[in-house]
Amino acid sequence: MEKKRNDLDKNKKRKNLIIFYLLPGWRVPEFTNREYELEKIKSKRRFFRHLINPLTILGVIIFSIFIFMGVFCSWLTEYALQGIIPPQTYIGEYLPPTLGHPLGTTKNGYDVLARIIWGSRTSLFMATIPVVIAVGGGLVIGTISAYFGNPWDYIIMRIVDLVYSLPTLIIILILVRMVGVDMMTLLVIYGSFAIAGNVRFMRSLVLQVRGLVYVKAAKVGGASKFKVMFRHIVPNALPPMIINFFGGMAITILGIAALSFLGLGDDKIPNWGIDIYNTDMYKGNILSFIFPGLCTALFAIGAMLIGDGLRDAMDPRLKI
Amino acid sequence: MVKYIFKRVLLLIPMLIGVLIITWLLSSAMLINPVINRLGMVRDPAIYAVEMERLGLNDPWYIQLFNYITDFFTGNLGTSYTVHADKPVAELLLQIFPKTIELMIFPIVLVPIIAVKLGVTSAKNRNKRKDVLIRFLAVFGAGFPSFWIAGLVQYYFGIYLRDTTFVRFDIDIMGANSFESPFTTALPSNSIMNSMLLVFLFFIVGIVLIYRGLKLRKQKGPKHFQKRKNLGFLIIGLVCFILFLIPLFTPINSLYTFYLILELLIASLVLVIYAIISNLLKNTPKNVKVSGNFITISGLIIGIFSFIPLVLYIATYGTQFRTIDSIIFNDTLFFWDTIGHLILPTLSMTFVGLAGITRQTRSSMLDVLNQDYIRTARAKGVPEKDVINKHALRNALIPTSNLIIGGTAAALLGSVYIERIFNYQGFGFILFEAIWSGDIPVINGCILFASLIILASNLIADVMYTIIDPRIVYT
Repeated sequence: MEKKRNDLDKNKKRKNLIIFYLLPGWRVPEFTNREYELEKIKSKRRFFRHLINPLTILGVIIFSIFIFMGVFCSWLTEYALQGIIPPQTYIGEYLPPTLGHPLGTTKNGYDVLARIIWGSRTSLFMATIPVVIAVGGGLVIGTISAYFGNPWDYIIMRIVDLVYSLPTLIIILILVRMVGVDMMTLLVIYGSFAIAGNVRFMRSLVLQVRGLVYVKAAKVGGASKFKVMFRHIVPNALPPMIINFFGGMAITILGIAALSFLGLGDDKIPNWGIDIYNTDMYKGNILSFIFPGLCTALFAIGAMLIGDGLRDAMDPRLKI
Repeated sequence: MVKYIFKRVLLLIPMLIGVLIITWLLSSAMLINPVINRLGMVRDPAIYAVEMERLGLNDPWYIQLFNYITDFFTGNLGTSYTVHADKPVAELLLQIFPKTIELMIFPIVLVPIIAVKLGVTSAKNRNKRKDVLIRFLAVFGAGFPSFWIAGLVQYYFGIYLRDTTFVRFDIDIMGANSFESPFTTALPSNSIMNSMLLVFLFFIVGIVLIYRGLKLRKQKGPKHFQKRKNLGFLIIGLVCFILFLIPLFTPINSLYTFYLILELLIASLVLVIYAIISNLLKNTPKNVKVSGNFITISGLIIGIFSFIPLVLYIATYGTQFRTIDSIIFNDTLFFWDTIGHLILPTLSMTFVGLAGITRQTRSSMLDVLNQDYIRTARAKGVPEKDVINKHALRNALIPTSNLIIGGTAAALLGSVYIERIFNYQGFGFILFEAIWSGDIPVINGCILFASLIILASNLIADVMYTIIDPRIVYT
């Protein structure tokens, strides 16, 4: 048996493993019975089987299209980034679709399609940065709150309650009005207000895990507090937070588009929300309203579908 | 349960003070000079200095904050700087909130009903054509931004149809858009408003007493004759008596104050007498019926006495709700005008609101339908309709109820976008204007109201849990 495994070509082995993961009934012919059982337990086979479902694949396709557009935007359009943002002095007309501009132009004379393609890069940032702040902050603070217990727990939870009782959208409006509409500050503000919900969620997860035997074992073994928390507890409470990540992306991209629609978006970068805000409905090009909004919605739907698919795969008891 | 609610209500007080301080600090750190916005084109430094002094903006921040909080506890929310200059904020809120509620009431009531129905049907026919259609709609409703859908609807009915066909859906606005009611020119003064709040409170107390009395009559046994509960009545009665003593020392300047005094006297007497009598008569099953009647009658008396000033108030000042006012003052044209302008905003809000609740209902319904007790119910021969509506739906609604109540608060805050795009002068519109021009008192008032609504809705959600699922007990 040992000889056989060494004889296998490394590439062939890898290929076998991939097929083993993806195809539910597949069995590698070289494996012995015992090895097959072991590999089955070790692998994430069930996870992948649940993950491959038409809606999730649709979500992945939509999302990867946006990532593709975001990465290769300068190859996809003939317009440079400098040609479609305000410092450029040329101000064209507000035109319906022509051959040069397949989706027409915006109010300032910029090409709509080019702004959509360049805007997908902005949107990737806009979706990920606040969620990274929110989920990361929630992870750390929630774990500390649950693990250390009172009085830290009590103080943190009262602060979370206070943030919960504030109307978040209005506070963000005021804060953005206060510090200006620069994109990075907007994203940081947006993310830091979403920490509260994640703290509550993470706390409930850690409280479930905290009493288990292996945590006690780690403590008896002499592990320090932070090692117990972030080495033993957090990895076991992580999967729901990953689902939260994708759900949060959808909410964030919609929220920031809404802020831009109110006129509080950064107009110095290609931004879908700003295109919607600038559209004049009575005359000119309605497509500069429709397509940026459609892209925002598709981005959100893609993230939402991936989140749903991951939830199906990680927690089979819950079905959507 | 009562103890729990009491505890929660007490916890609201420090939370409220925290909200007050945070909103004040935020809104006064906005770096927008409200005085310049207020004066407009007047560029006179002397006027500017006088105005700064008058608004108290030259004081240190802690004195301003202290003034704000003390003013709040004496019932004074300040006056608007820029949006509607020198209008009391309380009055402004009184005018804009009914408009927003009028806009929101249709989505708030209708969305949960439709969404739960849709979720149940899609869970029942899982993976069939109906299910796929509903899931498709739900995912799309959740993904599309509300302002985008509203904008498209507006474009289609307002511009596209007008340009391409002979149909015209544009309805001329006849003053329906401003938030000042055309029927009632004068608004009630502050003292009348305060007394009306008390009267309304007593109206509710009356209804609760009637309900409790009717419930007591049905019950048998000495359960309800424990000393502690009567103590509560005694305390409420004494408080009413003290409240009755306060207006005695102020001059009676209107009919409302007169009614208020009369009512407080009667309420206090009734409650105190009830508490004393029921203590004297001790715990005998006979007296349950008698005391039930007594409570019902006392509730009726309190209710009638508070109903009269309410009717008088509405007849003179109106309710500030457009639709109701136009019925009261008999203006058909205005009524249909108002309704006509409400259709598109409410429809677009309803469509957006459906998605979340539908998805949640479907997933929890699928979870419940796999349980053992559903199979047991079917095996017993319970009709399928009852299995779904009684056995399954009640358990599936527990996670959904949170979403429904949270949706109410979210709808109120999401009104900013809808009101902006339809130029509907309600809560969101005024708030946005205030933020834009740095009108600090209006912003504070609006945020305070919104966070009060959020806090109340959280409390209601927790109480709803116990009604839907009696297994949950709070201590």
